[in-house]
Amino acid sequence: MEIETLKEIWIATNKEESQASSDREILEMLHAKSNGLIARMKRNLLLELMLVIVSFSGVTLYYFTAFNGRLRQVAWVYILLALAFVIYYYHKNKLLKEMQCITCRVRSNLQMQVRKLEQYLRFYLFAGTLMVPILMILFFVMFMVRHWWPGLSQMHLNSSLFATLAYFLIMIGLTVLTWFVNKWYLNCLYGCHIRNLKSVLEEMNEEETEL
Amino acid sequence: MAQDQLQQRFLQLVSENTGIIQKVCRLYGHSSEDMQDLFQEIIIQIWKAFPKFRSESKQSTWMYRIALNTAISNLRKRQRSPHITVPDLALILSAEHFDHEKDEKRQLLYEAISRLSELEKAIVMLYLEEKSYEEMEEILGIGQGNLRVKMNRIKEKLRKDIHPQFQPAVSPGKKLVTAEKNKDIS
Repeated sequence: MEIETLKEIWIATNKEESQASSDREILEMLHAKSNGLIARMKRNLLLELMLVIVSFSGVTLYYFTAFNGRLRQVAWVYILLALAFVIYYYHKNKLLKEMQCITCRVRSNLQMQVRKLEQYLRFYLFAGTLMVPILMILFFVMFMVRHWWPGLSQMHLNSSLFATLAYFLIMIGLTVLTWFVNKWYLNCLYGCHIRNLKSVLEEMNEEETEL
Repeated sequence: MAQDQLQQRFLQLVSENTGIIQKVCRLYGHSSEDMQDLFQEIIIQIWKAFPKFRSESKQSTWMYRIALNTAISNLRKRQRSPHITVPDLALILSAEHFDHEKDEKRQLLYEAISRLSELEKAIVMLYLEEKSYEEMEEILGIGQGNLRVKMNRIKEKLRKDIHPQFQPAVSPGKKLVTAEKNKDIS
């Protein structure tokens, strides 16, 4: 079949089937939320931030006031974690903003999207995994300061060494487990999308390397 | 007031280029609902980018970039939705103007195009729209040499795909005219 025949069918089909949308319909569409991947990721990230702020505020207030303020250190740990989360949020939001250049050429937009999305996922994976040992070390230090530091006897020292070793082994185990769980989760969420984008990009590049 | 003016200019731009958006939606949408979602998404993206639009770049090039970037970037979401078969697609597209012979040709065309990859769909659409290779490069960011190689492969694929079932329905004289018209782009 001649490509010119296809062209004629294409032009005729488009002439017959193009329907003009009314101005009102178009304006209504502008009020709708974007359903694109990046827009949804931004919304989810904002929701995550809100949840952290609300829940951490509650927990912090509780530990400041409960038990006559004897567990104030726990509240400070939560404040530190909330600050770390704000930095985490800022970095992720920055990557999301840089992820798309909708008016750029298709190839450069895809290249940028793949690069930024991979950076975003790497950061997600590292931050999500590191949270486990950081949190456990913070609680360990806090516990040491409160209970073990003053007057350690030899017997206490022996048993505490064993407990510490066990605690750190559990910490390593949990960190490794979190790494794999996060990796699997991220692959479920974005793996297919990245593979699709990469295959389009590879197709765009394949002749360029041969030419 | 400024917002109203902006909206008016935006509406004018969209009405002048609705065809571009609809064509992209037809190629990349898998169902009528999917096409509507994609149409809406493209409109939102155009609106977001509109304040920065400078008339230096060609309007249609700018529209094609946004429409194709939106369609290709959203592949993941749409591949999850139930896949519609090509006869269904042809039915959706031509439900209002049922003409057996025409529909058969259209169906063959859409069937053949639907079997192409996402990138090949974009290239063949621009080719069928009689865009020059220079414009295609401006939109897709692929070198002209590379585009020519790909277009030849696509032509070959389409020829193999459609040839046994469909014979050209135009007179030889007409074919000659269109061939002349495309000399500059092929």
